[in-house]
Amino acid sequence: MRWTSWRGFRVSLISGRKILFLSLMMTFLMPFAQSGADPVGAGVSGTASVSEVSEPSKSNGDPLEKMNRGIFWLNEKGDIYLVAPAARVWRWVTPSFVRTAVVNVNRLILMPAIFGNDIFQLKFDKAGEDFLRVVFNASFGLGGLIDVATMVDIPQNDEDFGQTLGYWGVPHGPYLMLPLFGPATVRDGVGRVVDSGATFYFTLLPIWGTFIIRGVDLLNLRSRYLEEVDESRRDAFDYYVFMREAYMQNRDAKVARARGEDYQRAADDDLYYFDDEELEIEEYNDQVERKLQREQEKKKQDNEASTQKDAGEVKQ
Amino acid sequence: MRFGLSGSRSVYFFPKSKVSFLILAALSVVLLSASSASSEIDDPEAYMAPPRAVAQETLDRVISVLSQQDVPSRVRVSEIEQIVFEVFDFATMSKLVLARNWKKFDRQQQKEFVKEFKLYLSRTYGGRLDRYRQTAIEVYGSRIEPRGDVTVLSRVQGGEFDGIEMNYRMRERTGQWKVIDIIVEGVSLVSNFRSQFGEVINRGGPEKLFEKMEEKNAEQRLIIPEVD
Repeated sequence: MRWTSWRGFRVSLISGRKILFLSLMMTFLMPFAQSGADPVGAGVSGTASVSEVSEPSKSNGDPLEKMNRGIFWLNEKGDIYLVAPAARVWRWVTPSFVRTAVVNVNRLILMPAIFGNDIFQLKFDKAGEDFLRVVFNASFGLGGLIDVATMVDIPQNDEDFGQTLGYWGVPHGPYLMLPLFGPATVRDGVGRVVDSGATFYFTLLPIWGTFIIRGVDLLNLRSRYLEEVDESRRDAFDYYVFMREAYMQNRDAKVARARGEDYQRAADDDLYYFDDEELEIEEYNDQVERKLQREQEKKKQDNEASTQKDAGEVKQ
Repeated sequence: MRFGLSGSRSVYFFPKSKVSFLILAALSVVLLSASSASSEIDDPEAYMAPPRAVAQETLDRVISVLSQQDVPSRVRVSEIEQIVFEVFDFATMSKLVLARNWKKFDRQQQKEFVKEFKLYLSRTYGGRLDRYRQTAIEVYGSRIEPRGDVTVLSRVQGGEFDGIEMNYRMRERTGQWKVIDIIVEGVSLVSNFRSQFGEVINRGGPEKLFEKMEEKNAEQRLIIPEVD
C-alpha cells in the first residue's frame, strides 16, 4: 500500500515532522522539567515573604516559565505580524457561510480522533453520538460542509488524547509553550501527537495538500477570534500569565468533566474563602459596600439624566 | 500550605503531582464542609431561587440593551456598565483577586484598588459584550456550593459562540445576591486575575499594579468616551 511506504510516512499529515519535533522536545524537556520543579516556581524569584504570597499550585505548574516566555514572545510576534493580518484578509475576502463550512469540514476530518478517545474513555454513548454525527454530516451534510448533526441535536463532543490520559489519572505535567502550536502541557503535547495519528488518511495527499488544508483551517479559526485576542492582549496585566491560566483551567475543567468530577468544587476553598481573616474583611466590606451603594445611586441618577440627553441628541 | 496527610494518601491516584495533592486536599476540606452546609439548607430549590432570579433578570437586561441597535454604541456600553455595577460585588471580588496581598495593602490602597478594579471590569466587559448581538443565553441550572454560595449555570445559544458554558458564582450579603465570579468554559475570572495580579505584585510591588491598572483604565477611557 502506498501510504505505508517510506514516502508516505514522510508526508503523513505533517505528523511525521510533528511527531519527530515533539518527541525530541519531550525527551529534552522531561528531565529539565523535573529538576526545575522547586517549591516556588522558577519564574518567581524572591524573598520568603514572596513565596508565602504566591499561589503554590499555580507557579508549580510552570517550572519552564523562562523558556516558555521566550517561545511565547516569538509566537506573539509571528501572530501579530503574520497570522493575524492574514486572518484579517481571509475574513475580509470570504463570506461567513464559507468560514462556517470550513469549520464544519475540519471538524468532520478530526472526528476519528474524537471517536477513538470516546472509546478509550469507555464512553460508548458519546462514541455512538459521534458515529451518527459523521454519518449525518458526511452524507446529508454534503461531505461535512453543512453541520446537519447539530440541527438534529447531536452534540459536538471534544474528547482528545490529552483528556484521555487525564481520565486515566495522568497528571498534566509542566506547562509547555510550543512554537507555532501554542499553549500545551507535556501531557497534552503528547496527546496532540497521538491525535494527529487519527487523521492517517492525510497520508494519501501530497504534502502541499496537507499544508493547504491545515493552513486554511488555522487561518479560518484565527479569523473567528480576531477581536477577542486583541482585547485580551490589551486588557491583560500579564498576557503570558493570562494565557497560561486560561489554558490550564480550561484543560483541568475538561479533564474533570471527562472524569465526571466537578472541577470548580475542587478548587473552591482556596479560591473563594480566607478563613482566618474572614470576619475582619467582612466588616470592612460592608463599610465599602454602603459607601459604594451611595455612590452608585448618585451615579445612576446622573446617568439617567445624561442618557436621556443622549437619546435626545440621537433623535435630532 | 502543606497537606501532608491527604497528599500521601493520594499517591495511589496521582503520582508525583503537587497540583493534584492540593486539589485533593482542597476537595477533602470541601467535602467535609459540604456535609455540614447541606444540612443547614432545608429546601435547596427555594434557597437557589433568588440568586437564579437575579442572574436571569440581569441576563435579560443585558440582552435587551444589546438588541437596541438604534442607540449609539457608547450609550449601550454605559448601560451595560451600569448593570455590571449593580450586580457585581466588587469589594469581595477585590479581596479574592488580591488573595494574601489584600492584607498587605493599607486601607487607603484597598479602597483605591476596589475603585480601580471596578472601573476596569465594568469598562472591559461593557465594551466586550457590546459585540455580541444575536446571542441568547439560557440559564439551565444552578447548584449550591459548600459554604452557601450559589453557582448559576448558563449556556450561550446561537451565534459564533454557540454552546459556550458560562457560570456565575453568587454570594449573599446584606440581603442581596451578587456575582463574585464568572467562569467561562472552566476559566474563572477571579482565579485568572489573581494569578496575573500576583505576578505583577511579585515583580514590581503594589505600586506597579496600581500604575498598570490606571494605565489600562485610561486606555479604556479613550476607546469608550465617558457618558457622564
